[in-house]
This record gives sequence, structure tokens and C-alpha cells, in this order.
Amino acid sequence: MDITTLFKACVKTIRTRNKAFGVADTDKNRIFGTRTQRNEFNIGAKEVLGQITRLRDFLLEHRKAYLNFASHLSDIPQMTDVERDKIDLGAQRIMNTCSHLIQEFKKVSYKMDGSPQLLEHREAVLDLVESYLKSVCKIYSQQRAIRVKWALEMQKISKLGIDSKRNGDSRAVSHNSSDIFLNDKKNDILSDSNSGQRKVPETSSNTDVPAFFSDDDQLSSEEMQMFEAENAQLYNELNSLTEEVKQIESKVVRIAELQEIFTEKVLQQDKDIDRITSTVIGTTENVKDANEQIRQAIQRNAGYRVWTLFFFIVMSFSLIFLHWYND
Amino acid sequence: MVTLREKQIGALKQMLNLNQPQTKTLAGEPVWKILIYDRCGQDIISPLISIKELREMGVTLHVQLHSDRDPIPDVPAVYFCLPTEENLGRIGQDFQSNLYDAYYLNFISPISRQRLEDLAAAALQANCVSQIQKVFDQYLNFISLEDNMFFLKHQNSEAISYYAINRGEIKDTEMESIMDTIVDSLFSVFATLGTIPVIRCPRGNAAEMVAEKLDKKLREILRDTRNNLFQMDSASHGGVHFSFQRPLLIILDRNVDMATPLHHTWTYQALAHDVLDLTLNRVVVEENVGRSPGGGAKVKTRACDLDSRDRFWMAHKGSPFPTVAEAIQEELEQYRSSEEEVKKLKATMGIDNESEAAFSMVTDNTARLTSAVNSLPQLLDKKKLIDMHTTVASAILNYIKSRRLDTLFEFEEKVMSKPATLDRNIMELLTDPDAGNPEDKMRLFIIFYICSHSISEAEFDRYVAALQSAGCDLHPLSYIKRWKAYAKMAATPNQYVGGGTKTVGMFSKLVSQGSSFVMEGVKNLVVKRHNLPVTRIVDELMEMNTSQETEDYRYFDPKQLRVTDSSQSPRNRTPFQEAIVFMVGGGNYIEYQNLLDFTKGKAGGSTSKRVIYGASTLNNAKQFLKQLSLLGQELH
Repeated sequence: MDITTLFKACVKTIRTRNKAFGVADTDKNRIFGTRTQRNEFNIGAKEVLGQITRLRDFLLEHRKAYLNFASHLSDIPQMTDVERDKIDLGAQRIMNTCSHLIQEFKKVSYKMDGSPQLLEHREAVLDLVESYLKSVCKIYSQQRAIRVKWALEMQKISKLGIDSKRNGDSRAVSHNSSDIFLNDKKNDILSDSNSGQRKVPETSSNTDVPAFFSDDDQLSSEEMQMFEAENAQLYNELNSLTEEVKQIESKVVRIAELQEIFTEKVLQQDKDIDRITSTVIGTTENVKDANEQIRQAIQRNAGYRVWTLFFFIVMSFSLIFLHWYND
Repeated sequence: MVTLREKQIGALKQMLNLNQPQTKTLAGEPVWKILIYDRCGQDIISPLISIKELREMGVTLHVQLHSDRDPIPDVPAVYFCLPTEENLGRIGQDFQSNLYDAYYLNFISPISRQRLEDLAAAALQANCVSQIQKVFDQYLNFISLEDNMFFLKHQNSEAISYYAINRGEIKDTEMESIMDTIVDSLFSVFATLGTIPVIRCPRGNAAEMVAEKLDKKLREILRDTRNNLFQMDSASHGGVHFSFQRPLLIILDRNVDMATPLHHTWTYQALAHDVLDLTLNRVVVEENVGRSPGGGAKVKTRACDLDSRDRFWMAHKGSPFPTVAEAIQEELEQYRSSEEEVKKLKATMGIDNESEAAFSMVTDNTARLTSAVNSLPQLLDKKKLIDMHTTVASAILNYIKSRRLDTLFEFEEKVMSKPATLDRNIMELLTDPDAGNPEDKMRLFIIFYICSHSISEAEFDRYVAALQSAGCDLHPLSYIKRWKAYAKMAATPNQYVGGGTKTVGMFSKLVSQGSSFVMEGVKNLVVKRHNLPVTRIVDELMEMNTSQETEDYRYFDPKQLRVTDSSQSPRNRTPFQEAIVFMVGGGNYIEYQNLLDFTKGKAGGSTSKRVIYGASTLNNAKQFLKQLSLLGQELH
């Protein structure tokens, strides 16, 4: 529990008590408090610490941009490789200077005199600064390792073919894995239509020993010939492909026209069908009415017949009766 | 849930961070400071924070308060000490000689108003008031050895030991001061935990006094609104720890169970404490390094730290000793196999290094290499660990063999479980010169005496004669006799029921493996689970069952506004989930282990119980016997 305020209150009461008793108060004139002694060691150590902190802040600030290799895809801040190199160089320089400074400090402090506790303290201070520097270096090296790994992978991808034979031990396992790796990468980047073509050089190279990655760009004449042949082949393939593509294009255009005509016709038929539906509906209505009327007609017919028959029968009976009566 | 020990570590770390809460940053800038502690502070810090961690937190120098110190400019100094007159005087001297530039004063228990004013006067006189940055009361006046165990004093522990409390000519003022110390420390425990417990204690002894005082103190603090010690629950834990229930504090007096401290032990931790004097999680072991040119065996002492950072220790500290030996064997086997793997890797790498490796092969191998390199320090650590445990275990084994502790243990277990039988064997054991040194025999006899119902005078005299011929000190006996007369032993005939051991055959897997631990001649005893009296009492009180033992225990609840008559039965009917057991007069690892087993046994149920074990001091059997002997001497 924090009783600092309580303590300060106690100090105040005692001060007032002392004033009441007339005890001299030498503390009153001290406005700024006791000045800290100028101590070269401490100042130097703090400087080194400050530098390391600045380096750390700088690294952390630009960490996101530094590690963003897919910069064209997103809108997080980007950084070119040149800038990255600059950061690497700068950071390394600062780290070297800092470690030199620390070493120098160590040597100096051994020679400096002071109580054993003071010496122990100084040693420990330097150890702490060193471990702080180490942790910041770790941040830097982690970032750098990621970047280097990425760069290597990019370089591996950007090699189109398999390089010259390197007669070494047979490395079937890694060989296949590198092929699979190349296949995967290439299939991702290039279009699918190329994959069929890709298989041809792959299968031919299966018997070869895979490339040894080197920065050396000198190619022997054999390699040149092979490359040229491959280039010519690729060129021809690509040409034939383009022609096929053109033909397909024209066919597609014609199909499009035909389809337009079809759509017209279909629309006409649509209209006709609409008309026919409405007519049919009208017809059904009429037919219904007609049925009604016919039924009525039949009924009336039946009625008339009944009445007619009745009339005739009554008339004939009356005639017969009259005939009989008159005779 | 955050344990007591972790809370204490958190408080200490915050203090070391110049009383500011710590922030997590990636590679933080170190702030240098100097740590100054007194003996009490040293005891508190040493089991919790290692020197390496202190360095990591920026402590460049750590010194005792009362040593000669030199001025070190421009660095803040963190003080961690008790607010006694002596310490305050020394701090005043430091002010006068202007040793440091900024002072952060942390007092282990709260400083009184009067002393604070004295300190202020000293600071004014030395004109360094502006340099005193912070003054803190840290309520940390207890030593936590494990996650669930704490005790009060290590150095100066005689002041509050069993002897001091039960002495014949103890004055009231001395008793008061002892009680005050105990209550102060218990209060710190609860301030660190941040909860107010419900208190229960038996009647009529020191435990009752402690309970009353603690209750009064907690009430005062709760009524004092300026104080916010117990309202920081949600703030400090961030809502993670939020139990609706308050814990139960059970204060017991040593007199409830006198046999357990003298008992011969069989678990790893308890054996280390008993035989090798495990103090503050550290043992000093003698190991035979080799033959010196003079012909005698060279003996080197080695200090081993046995604490929570040691994985093997945490797993096996409660297991019986044969299990520990087997486990060490297993670890050794594992280590050997991993070593083989690394060696194999080196061989394959060696072959490949002759020719130029393809790049992809290199990446494959570098992956394996990095994993091997990363695991190498782990392997080395493991080896060191296994080495250390082998030394410790073999030292213990030597003691066991020389004093035949296994037979003694077996016998005591039998005695404690079925007191009526086995009268005859004790005579043999007492007269056998091989079975342990005189202290062991004394312990054995006292346990036998306590657990058996009645022994006729003639038999008693015979035993006494046998003990005397074996060279034992008889004073503890007289004290125990008096204690037995006072205690209501007739009412509790079966205190230790359910114990006992069963012997696993000597031709166990261990011997057949041809291990380095030659355990022949040491019986492979496996302890059956049983509950010591303390555990039983805790169980009953937590489950709110009443038995004749716990019927008339007093009940205190500091949160209740009215001071109710504490002999009433408690209002709260739900069983408690958390309990803190405090033993006034000395505790030991056996009870702690028993409580741990008990909670583990209960853990399968609907809710898990947590029991924290505390004691005023931690005594092993030797120390306890000495205290009894002093008490016995007084009787004459």
C-alpha cells in the first residue's frame, strides 16, 4: 500500500513543529533538490543505452514495412530492397559501435577505482546493457533471417530450367523434392496451359542431376546451346498456341452471331406465344359460355316439348270429347 | 486461480519495478537499481526469485541492510525490510551518509505512525526528503515455499516456536508479542490474497488467542474506510479470479497431533527435509568426489535448489522414495536415448560434410541441425537435473540404509493404524543397535506411547531402561507424559486409522534393470492412503459435518457487523471450496503432503478444493525433538 503521501504529511508536520521550536531548516532554500553528481560512467552508460533504445524503436517501427514482401497486393506500407539494405547496414553499424563502446567501458571500469560494491555495480550495469543489446540484435537478426529466406526462395523460383549437371552423389530424395517444389511454384505463377509443356523438360531432366544454386552466371557453351534450343522450342510452341487461339477466337465470334439470330427468333416466338395464350383464354371463356347456353337451350327445348305435347293431348281429348258429345 | 505464491512474486516484482506495474515490451530497456534487504526480507525473496531473475529485472547489486555499504551515485535503491527500530536507525544512517540518490522504501509489514514520524524526522535532519521517492507498506510478512504452503519465520524462528509458546515460565507480555507477530503475518497473507476468511479454531489454547486477535484486526481494517486493501479484488485480478465463496481459515494448535512431526517419513520431499535439512527449498548435500592422495574419501558439499522450476521435483516430490528412484532411472534412460540421437545426427552430418552438399540438402540438414542445437541446452539441463537428483537421492539412500529408516517407518505406520498389536517388536527395535540413532529410537517410542491406549508402569520402566541403555535423552518423555494426561486421548482412539503399508516385492523392476540405485536391503514400501488428524479435521470443517472433535470449535466471521456469540453454529451451510490451514507451533511436510493428496483425491468430484497449508515455523523431527527435550527439562 502506498503511504508516500502519509510520509510527506509527516514530514510537513515535523517541519512545522521544528519551525515552532525554532530549529533551523536548512532544507528550505533547496528548490531543486540535491544535484546528481556528474559521473562519467553513468553518463556514458546512459548514452549507450539511449542509442540502443533508439535502434530498437527504429527497428520496431519499420518492422511491418520491412517484412512486407507482398507489397503489391496490399496497402500496408511498403519498402524497397534498397531501403531494406540501408536499414540492415545502418543497424549493423550501430550494433558494432555499441558493442565496441561496451567493451571499452568494461576495460575502463576495471581500471577505475572505487569501492568493491561500486565496481560490482558497474560490472552488473555493463552486463545488463550488453544483454539488452543482445536482445535488440536478436530482433534485427530475426527480421533479416526472414528476409534472406524469402530472397533465396525467390531466386530459386526465378530459375526457369535446371542448371548444369553437378556430378555429385545421387540425391534422389532431395532431387524429387526440389522438382516438386519447382513444379508447385511454377504452376502457381505461370498459366495452366504451360504446365503441359513444362512436363517435357522436366521428364527429360529427371535423369539429370539437379542444379546447384550458385550466384555464378557464367554459362558454358553447352548450356548456351541447350538454352538456345529450348528457347527456340518454346518460341515455336508459343507461336502455334497463338494461332490456335486466333482460330478459336473467330469461331467464337461466329457462334456469337448465330446466337444473336437465335435470340431474335426466340423473342418473336415469345410474342406469338403470348398472343396465343390470351386467345386460348378467351376461347375457353367462350366455350364455357356456350356450354351454359346449350344447357339452357336443351332445358327450354324440353320445356316446350312438354307443353306442346300437353296441349296436343288436351286438344285431342277435347276434340274426341266434342265429337262424342256432338254425335 | 492465482496462487498465494504467485501473488507474492507479483507483488515483489512490482516492487522491484520501482512500484510501477510491469508492462510487457519486446526487449525492454533496463533500469538499474540496488536491492537492500534485511534478514527477514532475504528469507522471503530467496525461495521466490533467483539471482538470475533479479539480474534480469535490473538489480545490479543486492546487499544486506546491516552490512557496510558504499555510496553508489545516480542509482535508485530499493529497501525491503521490517520496520523495526534497528532497521529504521540504519536507514537513518544511510540518509545521513547520503549513500544513494533515490530511495524507495518498502516495509514488509505496516509501519506504525510513530515510527513513520521518526523516519520523517531523520530524513529532514539529513536533508534528503526530496530523494525519498516512495514509501510503501508491502503486506508480505510470510515466506511461501510452494504454491500452497507458507510459513512465517525462518531466521529468528525460535521466537515463535512450539517451545516458546508452551514454555513453563512464559510471561503474558511475551505471549502477547508472539501472538502479535503471528497475527501480523496471517494478516499479510490475507491482504495478499485479497479475501476475508471465515475463521474456525478449537477452544482453550494458543490457536484460540490467535483467532480472536486476527478477527479483531480484520474487523478494524474493514471498518477503516481509508484503507482499500480488501477492495481490490476485481481491479488487481482483472475479473479472472472471482470466487463467490470466502475461504475458510482453520487455526490449529500443535497439541492436536503430536505424533506427526516425529514420524519417520517416506516421501521424497519429506525425506529431504528430515534427513538432509531442506531449508528454503535448498539442500546441502555431501558427495564423495573421489579419493584424495591422503587416502581418505574427498567430500564436497554441494547446494542444490529444489523448487518449482525443477520439473522432476514438481512431479515426484510427494511420491514414495522407491517411485522416485524408478523415475530417476527412467529419466536417465530417456536422456541417454536422446543423447544417442544427437550423436547419430552428428555422424550423418559428418559423412555429408565431406562432399559439397546441395543447397536443398543443406536446408534439410540445417533444419535438423537447428533442432538438435536447440535441444542441446535442454539436454544439458536435463543431465544436470538428473545428476542433482541422483546425488540427493543417493545421499538420502545412504541415510536410510545406515539408520534403517524403512523398518522404522513401517513399524510406525503399523503402530499408528492398529495400536493394539505389535507390542513385542518395539522392544527388539529399541535394543537393536542398528536401527537408527538414539533420536530415531526416541521418536519411535514417543509415537508408540502416544498411539497406544495404556501402558503399565512396569512396561514403561522397562522401555525407559532400554532407551537409556541406547543413549537417548529422556526429557521429551516426561513432557509427553504430561501432555498425554492433559489431552483427551481417550476420546480419540482411532486418530490414525486407515494407515499401514504393504510391501512390494524386493525383486521389482528396479533391481532387475540393474540400476545404479541398489535398493536391495531397503524394503520397497508403498504407503496406503490414509488421513492424518489434521486432514480429517479440515475435511470435516470444509464439508460442514460436525463430529465430536470439531463440535465445539469457535466460529468467527469478521464481515458480520454484530459480534455474535461465536459458540453458535455457523450460519453458512454450504461447504467451503477453499481452506487455509494454519498450525500454530510448527508444521511439517508430512501434513502438507497429506493435505495435497486429500485435495487431489477430492478433485474428481464436482468442484475442486484448494487447501493452503501454513505454519508458524517449519520443523523437522530433530528440531522438534530438541524443543520437547527443553520443555521436558523444565518440568524438573
